[in-house]
Amino acid sequence: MVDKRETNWEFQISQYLDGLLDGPALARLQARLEEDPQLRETLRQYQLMQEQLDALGREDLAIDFDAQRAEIMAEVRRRRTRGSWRARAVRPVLIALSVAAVVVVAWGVLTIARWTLPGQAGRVESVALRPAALQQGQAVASVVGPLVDNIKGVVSVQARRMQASPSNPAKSSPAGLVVVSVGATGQAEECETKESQALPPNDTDTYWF
Amino acid sequence: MVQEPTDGQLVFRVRGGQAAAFDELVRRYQRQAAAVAYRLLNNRDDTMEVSQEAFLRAYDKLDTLDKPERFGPWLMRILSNLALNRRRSRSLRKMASLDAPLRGADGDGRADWTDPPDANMPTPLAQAAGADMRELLARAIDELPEMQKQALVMFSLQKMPQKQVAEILDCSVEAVKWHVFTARKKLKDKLADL
Repeated sequence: MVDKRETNWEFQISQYLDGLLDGPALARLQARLEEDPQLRETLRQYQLMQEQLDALGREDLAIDFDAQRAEIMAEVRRRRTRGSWRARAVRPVLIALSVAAVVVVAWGVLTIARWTLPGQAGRVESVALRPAALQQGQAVASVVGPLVDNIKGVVSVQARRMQASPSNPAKSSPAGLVVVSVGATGQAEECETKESQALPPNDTDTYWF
Repeated sequence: MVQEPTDGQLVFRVRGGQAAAFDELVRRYQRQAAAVAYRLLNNRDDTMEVSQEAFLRAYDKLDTLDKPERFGPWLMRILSNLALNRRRSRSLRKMASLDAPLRGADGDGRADWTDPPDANMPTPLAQAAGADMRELLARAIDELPEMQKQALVMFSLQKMPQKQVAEILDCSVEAVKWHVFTARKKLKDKLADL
């Protein structure tokens, strides 16, 4: 298959002017030029135009390149100074922001975990009942667990629906269901207070659940 | 004999904090940058601004240059993009008709390469040897489509290697050849119509 460019004589002339034609392609163009005066005229027009293009390329632009370079380098130095000052000023701020972001994200993750994982609320590990505080129908417990250590003051526990004895709450059996509420989220842990009977008054014991 | 550092070495030095190395890069490419910008913009003030901005843009983005040895083509690509944007944003005034400078003092007519030769008047081709013809050519170049203009300016006027032009224009070498040819043909036809 013949490349159309091979028979596009003007394209071949353009290639010839750029010194990109050799071998058979050059021979074909030369043969064609021999027999076609119009093509020779076309070649001449292209040659004259290329001479002018070359002259344009050589044209002195009357630019003071030394001055331009000095101006560019002055701006480069300004930007370097500005950049390093910015870097110095911004770095501590960035570090502080990063630390704050980590803290906020960690707090958020823990909070979300507490909110969204029923049964894992606060990952409560133990409940300490204070029998002295027991009153009929209610009890107060405290939670000991990772959340208490990690998020101080956030966790509070209330035990309700205790079946305490009205006559002697300290010695009565508060066996029943203890509902442990963690924080203000409404998430709850539930456990049986199986051993609370044995609690002496004003003592604290731990129930693992 | 002390060997001059390559573009790549200079780029690494600039990245390492040696601003003076960038001065050398500017020295190497500022003439080419100005020449290309001038032919793409056809305006000296724009040329100064755009070529300067191209170097500063290159400095700011030097860390993004994947192949430091290709600083030259990379700079030219920045330059040609800036020139293109400048042309678009400023909506350069419409160029005067190409035929105006060819009208004679009596304003009688249009020169044409097909006109019969006049013994007392230089033919249009003879005029091509003069500054007027170069001015006409410059205007005609300015009206070429962007790709053809860039290919012609970089390859035919600034004598940059075709491969480098292809890299700058993000096209094949064959496409560069075709753009150059098409540009030349349009210039020739346009001047023949005068």
